[in-house]
Amino acid sequence: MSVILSILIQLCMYSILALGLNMLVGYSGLVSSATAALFGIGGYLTALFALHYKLDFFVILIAGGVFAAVLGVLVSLPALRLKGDYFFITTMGFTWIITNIMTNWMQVTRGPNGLTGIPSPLVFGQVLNSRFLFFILILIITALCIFVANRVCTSPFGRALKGMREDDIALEALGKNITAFRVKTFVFYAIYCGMAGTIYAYNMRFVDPTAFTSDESIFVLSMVVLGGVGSIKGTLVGVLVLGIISEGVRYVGLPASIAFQARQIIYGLILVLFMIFRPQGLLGQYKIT
Amino acid sequence: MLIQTLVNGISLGSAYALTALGFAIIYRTLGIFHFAHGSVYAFSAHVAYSLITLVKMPLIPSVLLTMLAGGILGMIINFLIYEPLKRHASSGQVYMIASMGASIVLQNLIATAWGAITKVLVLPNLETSLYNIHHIGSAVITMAQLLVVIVTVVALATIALFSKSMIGLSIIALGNDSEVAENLGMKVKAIRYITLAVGSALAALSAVLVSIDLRAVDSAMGVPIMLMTIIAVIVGGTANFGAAIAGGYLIGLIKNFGIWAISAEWDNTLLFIMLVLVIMFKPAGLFGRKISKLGR
Repeated sequence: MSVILSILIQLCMYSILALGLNMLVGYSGLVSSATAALFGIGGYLTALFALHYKLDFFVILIAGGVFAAVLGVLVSLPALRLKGDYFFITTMGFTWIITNIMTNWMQVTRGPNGLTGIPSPLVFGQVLNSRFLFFILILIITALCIFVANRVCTSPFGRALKGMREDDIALEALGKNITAFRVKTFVFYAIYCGMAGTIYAYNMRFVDPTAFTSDESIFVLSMVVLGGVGSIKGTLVGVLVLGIISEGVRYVGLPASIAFQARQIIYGLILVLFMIFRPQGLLGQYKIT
Repeated sequence: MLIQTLVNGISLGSAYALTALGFAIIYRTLGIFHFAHGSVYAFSAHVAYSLITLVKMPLIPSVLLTMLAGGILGMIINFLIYEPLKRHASSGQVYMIASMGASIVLQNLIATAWGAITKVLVLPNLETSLYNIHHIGSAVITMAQLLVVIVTVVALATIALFSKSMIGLSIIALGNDSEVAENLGMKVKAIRYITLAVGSALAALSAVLVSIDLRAVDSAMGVPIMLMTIIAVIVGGTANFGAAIAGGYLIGLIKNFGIWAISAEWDNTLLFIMLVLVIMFKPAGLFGRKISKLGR
């Protein structure tokens, strides 16, 4: 039971990550590889806050999101003005620095050993020991995240974003500030990633640098690409399909080392085949520019 | 220490210059952000390991065969991925994502075929003479390091000559304007294949040289070199090939001076900060004259 709950919590967490990335890729047309870094910032911040300050779960959740957003924007702001390749590389480098800090800033992060013994979350002053109740809490948060993402996409702001993705020059001619829009979608994405990091830390009770490598960024990107860029429904389908494949491979009975490689090959193939044959994904209408 | 850092920097920079030139040729000519370049590098290193250590083939044929293998892999990637994408008139980021996917698939295929552990490259006959230490003033250099520098210079000179040939000029023309090149009756498809073959062979050459110098290969070795290569190309500039080569040497030197002045743990962070500064203040690159086309 506890294994199933853990997997379900993981799926919720990936939904939040993928929704955030989908917002960025689908609406500003920028492909980011900083997912793992922002996710990791949220995770480490949660671990540190929970270990040293005994703060409330929601305070940490919001702090994780905000902190990830602040750091992410500081670093990616120069690249947000550019399109495409350079942005991708800058976010990749950002991931690199974050990994560097996680492994080398021994006093705070305890390096490769990671931070262990994260206590049960404190919800409104109550210690939440039950795994089931924790799952329900995460489920509610995920539902809220889906709701908010949906609202943002259908709002006037969301329509402007769609316009930006279809033709940014036309939108600029209408007097909209493209860079400001990009920054806003990036902030949205970073907050979602940071919050997912909080969920990860509380679910695993343990964070270490290997959990936040670029493999994780690529995993989330394959989810978004599979489901359909710019489609919330598609993103959730992508999370479900890849989540099942990822867990399924574990139970097929392959040796651990091969299973890891088989999984990576599947993600890679999904990226390649979808780009060639269906760049809009299963449910999306929009093709990445 | 200064001379030692300089020696190490030039040796490492040579390896980066080769991969950066290969990447820049593909990027400028086809507009593809060729992520799989790093995996071509890792694959070539494993081919070199197999030829040199397992088959015990002499050094020179091993190097040439490895370059051939790298070039063929480049053409296979073009055939399987880039040509189909070209037929669907895909955008730049689609190429980039597909290339990244290909790079992950390749890296894991290498790990499956050769094992994910680090393998020691043993040179059967030349072992002792190549790793002898020579003194330059207070600094030391191994023959292997010297070999990297010399072979790189020879390779770069060959490419400079090649760029004046009919095929070389065609590659440059295709990079300048692919539509005009096609209208002039150039066989653009063939040139695309040749571009990937040449670029990949350069990565393969770098891979052999580095493997001989470091005496180790592993399946994940393509990732760090890929990042260094991309930083070298962006910092150097993509408008001309010389800029990419200069970028490679610059990154090699900065990395070694970073290790010397700060510490080995933070050299990547230092390079990344430099990358951000260049993107902010001189997006055309330090040695490039005009801004390259972004977001193609």
